[in-house]
Amino acid sequence: MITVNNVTFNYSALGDEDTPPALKNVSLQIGEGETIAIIGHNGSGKSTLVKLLAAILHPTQGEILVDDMPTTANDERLWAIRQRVGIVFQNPDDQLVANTVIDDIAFGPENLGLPRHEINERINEAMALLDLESYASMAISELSVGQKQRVAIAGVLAMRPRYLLLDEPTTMISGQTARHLLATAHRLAREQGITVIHITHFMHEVIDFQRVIVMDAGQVIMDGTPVEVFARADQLQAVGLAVPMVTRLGQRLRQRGWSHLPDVVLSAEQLKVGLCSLS
Amino acid sequence: MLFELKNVFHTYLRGTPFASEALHGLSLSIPEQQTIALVGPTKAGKSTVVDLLAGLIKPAPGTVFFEGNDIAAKDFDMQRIRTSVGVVFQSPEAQIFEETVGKDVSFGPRLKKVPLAESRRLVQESLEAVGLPYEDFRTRYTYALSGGQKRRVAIAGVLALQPKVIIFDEPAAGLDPRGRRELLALINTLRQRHSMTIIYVSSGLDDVIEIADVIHILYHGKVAFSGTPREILAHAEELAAMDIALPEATQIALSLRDIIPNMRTDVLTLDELEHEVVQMQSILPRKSL
Repeated sequence: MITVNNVTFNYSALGDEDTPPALKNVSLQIGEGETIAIIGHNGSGKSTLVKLLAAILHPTQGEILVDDMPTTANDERLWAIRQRVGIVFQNPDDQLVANTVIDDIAFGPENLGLPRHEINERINEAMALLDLESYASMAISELSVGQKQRVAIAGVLAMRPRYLLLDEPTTMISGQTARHLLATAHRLAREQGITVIHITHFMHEVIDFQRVIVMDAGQVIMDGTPVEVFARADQLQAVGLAVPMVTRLGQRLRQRGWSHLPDVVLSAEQLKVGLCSLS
Repeated sequence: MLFELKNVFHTYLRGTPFASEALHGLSLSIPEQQTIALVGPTKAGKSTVVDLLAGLIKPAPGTVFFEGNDIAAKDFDMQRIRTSVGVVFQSPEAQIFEETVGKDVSFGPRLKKVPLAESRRLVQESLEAVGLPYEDFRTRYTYALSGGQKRRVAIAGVLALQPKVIIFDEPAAGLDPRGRRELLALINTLRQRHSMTIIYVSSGLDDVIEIADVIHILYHGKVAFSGTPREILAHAEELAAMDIALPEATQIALSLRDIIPNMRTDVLTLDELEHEVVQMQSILPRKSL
């Protein structure tokens, strides 16, 4: 469980003047095994929140507890948090450190000082989860962005985290690669019980998550299931976000009297079922 | 015609075991003062075309004409291309290196030894063109700008070189919906008010159907097909098979073909999509899926 307790964060504490706080009085509870998508436009505070959860930044006010350990701890608890909360950045080049795939995935477990056999076990497990076995000895520099993204996630998984934070991992990769990456994230949540927190601008990526958190001007303005959030289309539009087109189409068709359609259509599949059942 | 590419090939690391062919007999032309989109999946050859059009590489074999002149000719000065074509590379904010906005945008003119007063005017015009008021932004520190502002400063830096053509390589990647709308509006303004030629490179069709006059679909190093946005969207099935991201309306229309086999996919807006679905109402199957 991660508890965010009335957290405010101001970058001005780092020397920048006149900036409004990036986060204002945010409170959240994140349970184990949840899949959460965080949406909001640039500057809404999503990335700041994720960096705070990963203990990369510390709250200016309030506190964040990861499994009851404060992220401001300065002792072995900080190491425990770092191990439990894994983060994958937008650009995988920002976090790949070694020359080859296998060396990069090994970097984390090696630095935990684990015995060799356990390091190998973790590497093999992480590579299997991301379908990287055949890439083990390849040079990182020869990989595509999508492949690098998978290596970055494998490197994080080798630390056996409980929480996997994905900070806009799909902005630099193609549609098919992005779908594969998200399917993998959902599988990790289902099979390994890992909590997945995914930041994105893409509304269509949100519908498969259990919970959607909408941020604006440093605050959480909505927190609910995709259906609950997309039902508030006007409010989303007011903060510069749009509901998926299929949801808007469903609303328009309902207004035309096609009342068999669900209130909130989340996918083309649902739309098709609704259209067929009404005739 | 500004550019004409005829049967162009390009192989990286030619003659080595690592040789890989990026362009395989590509032909296309780019007329002046239009917005031309080059769309294709990864490894279709988009970046290689950008390098060719920017005058960074030469075709081998194949011919590239710039304003009617063969760029392989002995007397052709590649500098002509490089001064006419500005490139806004992917994540252009990463290319900002000066301390202040004014200094960064004036880097190009200073390098070209443009007189100070003239350089000042160019910086001012370029910043105003991207929607950043000169007096307000001139002395701002570049590190303190937002992502969208940095992208604008980078574009202003290219404008200050007074190119006739601007190539945008995946300019909307990483922008939120609002930032994306603003960027597309800016690109349209550059074309209309400043009479520029725009070459927009992207792996998806979402942005380009709103601004492109002609779209060329690149696949395996050549042009698979070309047309107006509406003509291109009629090929939705083939585009999806190439892993080219489709606009939302087209995606929905394509998916609806499961129950409405004749559903048109060349729908540009939600209004058009809604209209099509309503038209097709009578032929919906009369059973549950």
